[in-house]
Amino acid sequence: MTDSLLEVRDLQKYYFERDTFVDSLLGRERRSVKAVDGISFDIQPGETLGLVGESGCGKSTTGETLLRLREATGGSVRFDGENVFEMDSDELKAFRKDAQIVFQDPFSSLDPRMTIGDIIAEPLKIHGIPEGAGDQSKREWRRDKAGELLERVGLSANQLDRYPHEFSGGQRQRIGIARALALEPDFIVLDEPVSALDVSVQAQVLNLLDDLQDDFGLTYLFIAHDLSVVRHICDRVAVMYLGNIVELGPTDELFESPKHPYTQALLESVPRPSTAEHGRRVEALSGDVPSPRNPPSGCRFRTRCPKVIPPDDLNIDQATYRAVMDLRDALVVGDVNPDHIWEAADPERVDEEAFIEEARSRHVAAELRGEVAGAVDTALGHLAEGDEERARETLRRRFESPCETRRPAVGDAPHPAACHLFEGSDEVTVIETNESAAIEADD
Amino acid sequence: MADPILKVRDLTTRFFTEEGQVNAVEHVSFDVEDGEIFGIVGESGSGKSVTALSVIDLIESPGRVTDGEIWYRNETLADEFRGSTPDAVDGDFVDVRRLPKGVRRSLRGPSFSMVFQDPMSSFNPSLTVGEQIAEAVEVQRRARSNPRSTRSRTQGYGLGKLVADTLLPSQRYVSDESMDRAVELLDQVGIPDPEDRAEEYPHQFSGGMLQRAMIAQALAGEPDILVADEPTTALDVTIQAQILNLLRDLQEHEGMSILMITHDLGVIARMCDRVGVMYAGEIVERGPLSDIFDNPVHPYTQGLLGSIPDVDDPSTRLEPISGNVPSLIDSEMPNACYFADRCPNAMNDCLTRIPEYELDGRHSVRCVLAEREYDPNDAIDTEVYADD
Amino acid sequence: MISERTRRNLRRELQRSLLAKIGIVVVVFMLAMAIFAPFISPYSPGQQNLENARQPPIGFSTKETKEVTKMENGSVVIENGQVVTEEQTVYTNATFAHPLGTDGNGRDILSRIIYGARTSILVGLFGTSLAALIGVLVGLSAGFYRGRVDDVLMRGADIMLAFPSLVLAIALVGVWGQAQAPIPDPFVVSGIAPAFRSAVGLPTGMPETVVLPGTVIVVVALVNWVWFARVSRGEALSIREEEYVKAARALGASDGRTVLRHVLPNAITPILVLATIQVAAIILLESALSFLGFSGADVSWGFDIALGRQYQSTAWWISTMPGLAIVVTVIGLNLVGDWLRDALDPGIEGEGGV
Repeated sequence: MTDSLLEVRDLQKYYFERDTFVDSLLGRERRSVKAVDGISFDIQPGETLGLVGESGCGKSTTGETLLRLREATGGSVRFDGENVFEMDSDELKAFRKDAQIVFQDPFSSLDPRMTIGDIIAEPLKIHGIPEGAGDQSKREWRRDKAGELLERVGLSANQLDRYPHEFSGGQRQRIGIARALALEPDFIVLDEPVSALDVSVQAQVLNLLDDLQDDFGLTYLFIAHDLSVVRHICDRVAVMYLGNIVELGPTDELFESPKHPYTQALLESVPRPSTAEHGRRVEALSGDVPSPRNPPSGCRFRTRCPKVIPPDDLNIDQATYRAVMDLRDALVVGDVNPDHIWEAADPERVDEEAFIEEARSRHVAAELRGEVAGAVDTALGHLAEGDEERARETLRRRFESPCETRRPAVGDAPHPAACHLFEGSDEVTVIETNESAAIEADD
Repeated sequence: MADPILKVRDLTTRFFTEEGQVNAVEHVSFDVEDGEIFGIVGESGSGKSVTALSVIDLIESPGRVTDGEIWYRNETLADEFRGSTPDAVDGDFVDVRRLPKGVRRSLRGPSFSMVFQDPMSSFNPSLTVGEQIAEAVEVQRRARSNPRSTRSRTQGYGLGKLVADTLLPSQRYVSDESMDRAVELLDQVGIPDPEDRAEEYPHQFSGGMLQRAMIAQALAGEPDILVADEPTTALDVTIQAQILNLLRDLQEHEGMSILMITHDLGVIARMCDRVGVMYAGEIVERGPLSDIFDNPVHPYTQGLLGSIPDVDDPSTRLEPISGNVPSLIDSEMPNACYFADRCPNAMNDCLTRIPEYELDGRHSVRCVLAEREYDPNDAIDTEVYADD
Repeated sequence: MISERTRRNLRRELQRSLLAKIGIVVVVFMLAMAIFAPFISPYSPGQQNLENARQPPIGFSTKETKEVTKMENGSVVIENGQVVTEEQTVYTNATFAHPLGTDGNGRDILSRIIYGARTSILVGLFGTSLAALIGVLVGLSAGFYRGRVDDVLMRGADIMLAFPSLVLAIALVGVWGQAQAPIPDPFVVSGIAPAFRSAVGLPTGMPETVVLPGTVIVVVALVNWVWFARVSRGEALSIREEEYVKAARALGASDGRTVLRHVLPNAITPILVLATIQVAAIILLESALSFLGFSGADVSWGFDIALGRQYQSTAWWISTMPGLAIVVTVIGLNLVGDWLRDALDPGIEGEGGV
């Protein structure tokens, strides 16, 4: 593993809200948003590592943080053996020659007030390339170089004096790629480079990226939300969810036998452009991605996971357990309003049985039996009495899952998945936390 | 097969901008059958959204629907206008474009309604979600009690109302009855705890929830046809799956027809019964899903399908369509097949406007390849067109 | 710097809007008046003629009743040991020699307005430039660096804003005194203007220097930079999130280069629009200072309004004419500002097509 081009260890990027002078005057405590929460991976020279996830999972932040376009809150990034976060400004400038980035939005990534020629030549100018020679010949050299780069990405060199708005989205993306190539980097972060493009143009740009990688021996970090694109272009893939990597593995293996329930759900959700897809009913993940301001304790995915692990001593089927866990989450985020339930069940607020019945029909999407029904009804009884805290606690005591007390992280296996289902193997390492207890105490 | 609910014929929409006349939609024809999902797929600038807006009469200046007919099956309307405007009536169908403006407007809601791409900008940030859905309910309620009154929407506004609202700040914007219905609708689209959520503002909703709310709003008038313009484009795939499931459930339970506009062939494949592929303002190929996906005739359709990386099968190389999406400015459009400059199979026959060929009763295509085989000897020099 | 597209937008908006045309005509007219003052001014602004004091503008005449010593046969009439007075009515008519009338010392009001335009426009332009320089520097730094830098700079700006600007200006003038720099008027010194004037038969003896009210310029800039800071901070905040700014940093560009090359050019439009409006605001502030006698200028619209105050009831034009000059100029500048804003709306810029 020593020959990795890039080594990311426990990378953390938190943003802080309520962090202004006024906030400190008002004595408001700053609030952290955990955009990237301790992720580790390596990239080998010449490979393409895909980083996929839904919006807000921290994939773009990861790309920008490891290039030090944003300052990390913790962890380390080694590029070619050197620690990127400890570089001084000269070393950093040298690093920028080797590591470049291509952005998602072809409309905002080019300065509208500069010509294409100036845009592509700018990196050369910043780094004083070429060295020596007079100003006049330098400028000409750079212009020639910009023309060459433009042709390399499939545009014509006689367009150097045009402005960005005269180009289509696909052409602008090519220009952005030419700019990134100008310094002849080894490594390029491709931050959703084709998401904004139409499919026919997207395919052109993907092919271009493929060709450039072969010609220049480039290493890519390919950030995307589109799984089909990732499958097409990447050698290995890391799947992110709420600031964590949940699964990391060789592309074909990960797509053909996904391990983590989130990866499985993602793959299941993608609409396939074929007739076999017609009428396919996807078992969609329920709910929304939780806020990174207050992420779930333990496994970040447990609030939506269809395979959440019940406590050892509880005999319960998955659907019922999921339904109970959804009720617990609803209680935590405040989606259960006892007033509404009373109103529908018994406006006089005496008939607790009716309340429990109504609450179950509204908030528990499964038939409950035996011990489970007993525990849930006790909790709903507390809710009926207006003691939400006690209702939550009752449910927690009986139904607390290992998924919420301990946080899994990807282990050292070739295809690790950060999920308690794989506990005991080297696919997952578990971070023991008492987050859950802390959160319960907060409430 | 029953009569379709909607027959669009030769729909043409133009925008008269300072850069010139833009032919956004050119002679577009399609049917939407009762209870089906008809999909229109195309890249950006292909005119698919303008087609949707034209159908529900939401084109604004400098744009105008300049030609074409939109036949909508509605017996009541047909009976009503058979005497006064016989041109606008054909059997049970009425040509929406020939109805008086007020009547056209009253169709929005009970006949057609629309779901837009960006739920965030489709809600007013200063009113609660419930109020906004209830307002849609209220508009429909008034329209029903006073059929096709052009004033239906403006009632309840005006100076008197303004004064009353100012003096009585606690007065609700909408009636309780409408609010109850709004909560019901929110419940129907799967929003948890709808009573509370109805009181919240759009920024308190996630993107997926807001899209559900917008669908609830569109359902307020119990429409015959729901026009969904890229309803899942702004959403993540797991949320997209939820919304697509919801749309299908609603379509099955309510018996609506859906006109689905999207750029995503995967969404088309999952949802639609029949498809129209748009390119440069025209429907270049139209037919049942299986014909379009398994036997595409138009080289553009083929190119589009060849451009998509397959999530289940990583083929080594994509086969993209060369070149760029063409300009729709009238003066820059060739008197030829609009796709000829990017087409791998362009022949001399393509240098004229191509009519729509019927392959069989259900599959039609705007390409000479419907009539003849590709002949390399007859190929035109595509370099003539090459712009870069 | 000005792209073809921008020029087209400017032209289109100008054709469309009558108000923009009026604004441009007014502003160009005022500028020309200020620049060519030594050629077109009928008299020197300081030239007094007590005989002709308080002559009304064309179209008006005045009737004044004065108490005068009664004279009979060349001697004072004395009755009961007292000098007898009688009422006498004096009519003053307008003359074409002083189309806008004269002031209390018989100075030509038109000439004073023409020369006053120089003071106003000098203060307006220099004051705005200085304010823009300070404000843009502060605003771009605050917006670009955000965090503590932003906190400190913008809270400072807020404090500036909390003072009533006129009070602050008066205080600053009070502290620093009235520094003025006389600049030689090139037209007069070179002899072109006097030669021209004698050729067409206008009186010569125009002032050889233009007084640049240094303190006033610094003061109005210190009072008004906050607006520039706020606008450019807002722009910098949004532009720094543009991907081309991130791209520049990824390429290794220094902060200075990024701000000058990428942020400033893209923020320039709203700053330009603000500057136009600020010239008007600063002209008003200068007039207020002059009116109150704090500027030290003796040829200034505000100063002349103050001079006319004591004749308010008998010679209204002494105050009114320079007042009108201020109103017209300020309206003209605001119209030009509106034109720029409408034409340069960044929403139009950068869109690829329909």
